[in-house]
Amino acid sequence: MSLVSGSKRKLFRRQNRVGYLFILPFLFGFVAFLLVPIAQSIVFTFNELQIVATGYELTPRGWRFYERALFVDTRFRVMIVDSLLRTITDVPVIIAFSLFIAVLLNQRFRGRTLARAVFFLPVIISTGYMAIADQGNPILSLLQNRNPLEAADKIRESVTSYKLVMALLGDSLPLWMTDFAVQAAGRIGEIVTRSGLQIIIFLGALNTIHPSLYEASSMEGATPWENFWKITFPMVGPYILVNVVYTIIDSFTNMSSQVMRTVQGYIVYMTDFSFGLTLAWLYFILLFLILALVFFVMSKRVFYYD
Amino acid sequence: MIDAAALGRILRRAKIGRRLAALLRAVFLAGMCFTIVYPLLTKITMSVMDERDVFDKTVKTIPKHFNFTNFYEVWKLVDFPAVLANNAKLSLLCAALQMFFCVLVGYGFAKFQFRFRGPLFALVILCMVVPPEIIITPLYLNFRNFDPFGLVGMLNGGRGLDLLQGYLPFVLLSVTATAPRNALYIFLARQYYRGLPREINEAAAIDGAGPFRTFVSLMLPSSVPIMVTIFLFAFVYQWNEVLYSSLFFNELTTIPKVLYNFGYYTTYVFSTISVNTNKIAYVGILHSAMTLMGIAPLVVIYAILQKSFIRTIERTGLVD
Repeated sequence: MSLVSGSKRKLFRRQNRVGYLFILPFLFGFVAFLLVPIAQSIVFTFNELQIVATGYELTPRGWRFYERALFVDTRFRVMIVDSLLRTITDVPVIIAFSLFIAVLLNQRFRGRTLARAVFFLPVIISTGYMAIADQGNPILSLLQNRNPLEAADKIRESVTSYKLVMALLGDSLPLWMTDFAVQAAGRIGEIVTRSGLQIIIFLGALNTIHPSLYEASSMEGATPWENFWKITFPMVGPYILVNVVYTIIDSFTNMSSQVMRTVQGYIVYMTDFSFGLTLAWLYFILLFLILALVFFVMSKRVFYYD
Repeated sequence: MIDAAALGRILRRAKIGRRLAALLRAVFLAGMCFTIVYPLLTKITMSVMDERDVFDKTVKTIPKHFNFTNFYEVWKLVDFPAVLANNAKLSLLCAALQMFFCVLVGYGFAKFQFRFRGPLFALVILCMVVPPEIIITPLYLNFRNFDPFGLVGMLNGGRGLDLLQGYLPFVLLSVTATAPRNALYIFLARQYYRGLPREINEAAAIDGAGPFRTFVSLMLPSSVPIMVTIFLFAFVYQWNEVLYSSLFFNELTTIPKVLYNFGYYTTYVFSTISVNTNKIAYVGILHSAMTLMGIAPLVVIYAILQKSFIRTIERTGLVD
């Protein structure tokens, strides 16, 4: 008996090394295509770059760009704090919202295919297709701004919804919570667009749960509410981790983020190339640290079948 | 008198709770769908407008003169079938390759315990963090003078190969799972395979199946939902992608590229067929029509493919 398990273990240890073969394509691609560009962009942050006829020239500048970004530049620190706060408030809303929508879309009801197709549109829109398309359309803004009363309408709408929420929850909840809810409701369009991918990921995840689990637990008298927290939630746990990581990265590096737009301004128009890259890398390092924290905290809580 | 228990029984029999929930769900989803479609609404109305309506201030959402020939005009004007075929070819190629290789790499990270697995996975996350805009210039130079590890140069007298204006850069990035967003797909696949019970692998190993046979004949058939998800994401991304396809394969005319340069493009075509080139309103209308024509195939593909999400597990019977 012990002999069998011993040889079995040896077999697995040998098989474990096969793992390198599976990830070999990625390792090769990383070294061949991405390593040099990434390393180069880091090198640029320690050098001043000047375009000359034959290409570019580098003048070593040490940590000067980093000192400028962290201690001299007044805007960068503010922008970092802003995007950090934005991420902290946005991520829970987007994750909860997209899981909720996915659970709804996974139920049986008439028109489900149509509803699912509509909820796929944000995936298309989030690739920047609409932004690109709008830029090429000369006349669209004319039509979109046709009604001068529209802006006033929007303000009135938001005041009404604020009053409504206050009437419903005003006394029972602390003010910051009501504020948070109203703000989230006001940005529902943005949240829907940014939840596109996450909804589809959760929808796929929900379909990997074997129906027999629900059947068994319902037989034991569990309510749908209990089923959700005892079966659905732990089973989609691995995908909550993916979605949290993706949402954090998206909210940091999306081109609508203030830091990324500043970086793009410096890099694309070559006004201050190295400084732009320095800002970008400081930003990425912060992002990486946050992701490490997320992995550390969530990995222990996520349930894997194996 | 009806007591509370009897009332509860009556309510349950009438399924009032369930109906109320269904109603709430319908209202909520309809509202959400409206929020999603709303930004498209201007484009939808504009695509069926006549030129006169654009300058008519009283027209806001519903055109006075419906004109459904705009779609057909775009079809002819930009040679839509050819552009569509280009888009489909490139997207299908990238999506199919990325789907397979990201699943392969994700499986490697999920099911084997090799040294440096953690740090190597951190590299995958790094690829997610660094946006394509940061590395695009060196990557472009790399493909213009392709010489990995100096191997090509050795055979070619010090010069690398020019891979631009072809499918090869896309193939290379897809096959090595290093194209944009591929790290996300690897991560997704890894999470999926970690969710499968280890006993399957152990049983397969004891039965004498090698790790690759286990992967191909046992794991791939069970991972249809995750593969469909990855395929869809990769397909949509490539369908709408402008940055890489402009730099690596500028000669290929795709839908997003045409939309991006629509003004120039149509002015040029109009001038060659001697139509008044000052038709800016008309160009806007055609642009809206083409935007919708570009999205439509994606929605149709999704509506068809999403059905394969469902019940895959039951069909393969792998998770029990």
